[in-house]
Amino acid sequence: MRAGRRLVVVLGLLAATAAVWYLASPVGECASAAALNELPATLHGWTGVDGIPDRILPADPGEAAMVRRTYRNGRRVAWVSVALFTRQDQPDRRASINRIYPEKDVSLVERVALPGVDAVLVSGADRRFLVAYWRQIDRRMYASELRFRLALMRAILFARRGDSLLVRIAVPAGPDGLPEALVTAVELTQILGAVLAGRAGC
Amino acid sequence: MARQSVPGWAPLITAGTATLALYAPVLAGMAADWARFPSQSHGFAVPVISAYLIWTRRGTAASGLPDSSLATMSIGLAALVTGLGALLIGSLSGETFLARISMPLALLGVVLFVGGPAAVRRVWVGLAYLLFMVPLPYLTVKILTYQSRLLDAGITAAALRRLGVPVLQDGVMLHLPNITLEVAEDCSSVPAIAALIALGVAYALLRPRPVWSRITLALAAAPLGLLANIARLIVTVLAAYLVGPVAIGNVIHQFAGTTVFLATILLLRGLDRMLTRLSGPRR
Repeated sequence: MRAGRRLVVVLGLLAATAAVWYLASPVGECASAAALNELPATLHGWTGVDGIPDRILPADPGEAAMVRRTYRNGRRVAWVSVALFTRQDQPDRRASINRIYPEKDVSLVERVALPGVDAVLVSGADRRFLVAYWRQIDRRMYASELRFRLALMRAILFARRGDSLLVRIAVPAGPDGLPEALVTAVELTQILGAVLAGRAGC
Repeated sequence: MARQSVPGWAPLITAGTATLALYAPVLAGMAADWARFPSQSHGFAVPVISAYLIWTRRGTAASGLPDSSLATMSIGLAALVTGLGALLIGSLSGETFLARISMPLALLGVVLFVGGPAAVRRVWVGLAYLLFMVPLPYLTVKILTYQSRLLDAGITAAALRRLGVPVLQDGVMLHLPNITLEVAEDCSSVPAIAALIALGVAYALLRPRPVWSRITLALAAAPLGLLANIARLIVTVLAAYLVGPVAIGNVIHQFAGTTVFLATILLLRGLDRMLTRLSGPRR
């Protein structure tokens, strides 16, 4: 094949790529945050009131909608944040990995193994707590960032939908309180996972 | 003679320019990141160095470009299609790293398909160097940065204890009798790791030297950068202990990136001299 013909092939491929790129249908936006609006204030013995200290679970400016509640069950306390992120084909509308757990005045962040979710133990001068978190697209929960990104990529490319939830549960874990915090986090993960799986979506 | 070469190179230059035009939005996004994040500002230098590397290896243009074999054309076409596919997937799904990293591959595919192996031999080093302009995925950088902060804090604390300074390490915090310091994200050299490696590779390539010497210099830049950063941390913390909090505002601490970069260049220069001496008697 002569160089001129090869050039025509290349230009044809570039033009086809440009056409697909610019003519792709726009990604849909989530009109209502049903999962968030219907998140019950009472969950299997846990009673919630609105509000969480920002130094426990930071808010994210990219959130399209969110529910932030402090849940109590007897002497146990847990902070729950469920945030909806939409149009995540735009990277600046995704959840920032710098805002999943607090990083200011924190001396140590350690990974903790919890079934089905990602979790870290955050230690600072005057606080120590466990943060369990996961992403959710429709009914599926993702603990791994890589799997979530692949699933999101699939949803954006084929369904032209770029919505997901970021669910975070923070539980205090004093100097010897990690085992109890783990039990609480697992319990709330199961409760919230079941509740949100039935309501997730737009 | 030069006129005869134009028909051979013109399709390649046209195809390359058209490919860059398609990538214009991706390049603009990358340039915005280079301008926004100091640790990625080396991105502006990468295309210039890449162009220089291609220019110095262009050989005799008069030779023109021979026709490619079917096999090389197929490989070139496959590379181009893969690159353009990655560009589409990355751009449409907002995975900017995928879209960005696809550019050198698409360009290499264009060169192999249109220009053939003779052209690839002349430009591959320059095209490969373009990889350094792509900012690394932030998640990876963040994980590495945190681990490096812990390591930096540990080594700094150990070094200070050897120097007789009472210090307690608590994760990334260093508690001194008069002040508590945090080995913050900005104190880590990991965000600048791509810049340091790009520096090492450029340093190794820009002057003729044996291949083993080039590889050593290219591989040494990152560890030398980490070493320079730890030395900077030790000096800063020691100054804070001896002088007080006012020492945190010193030049070494305030211009952390520049300090580490300059120190790395000096260390590379030293290593280069050592390697030259080692290779000297063999000539």
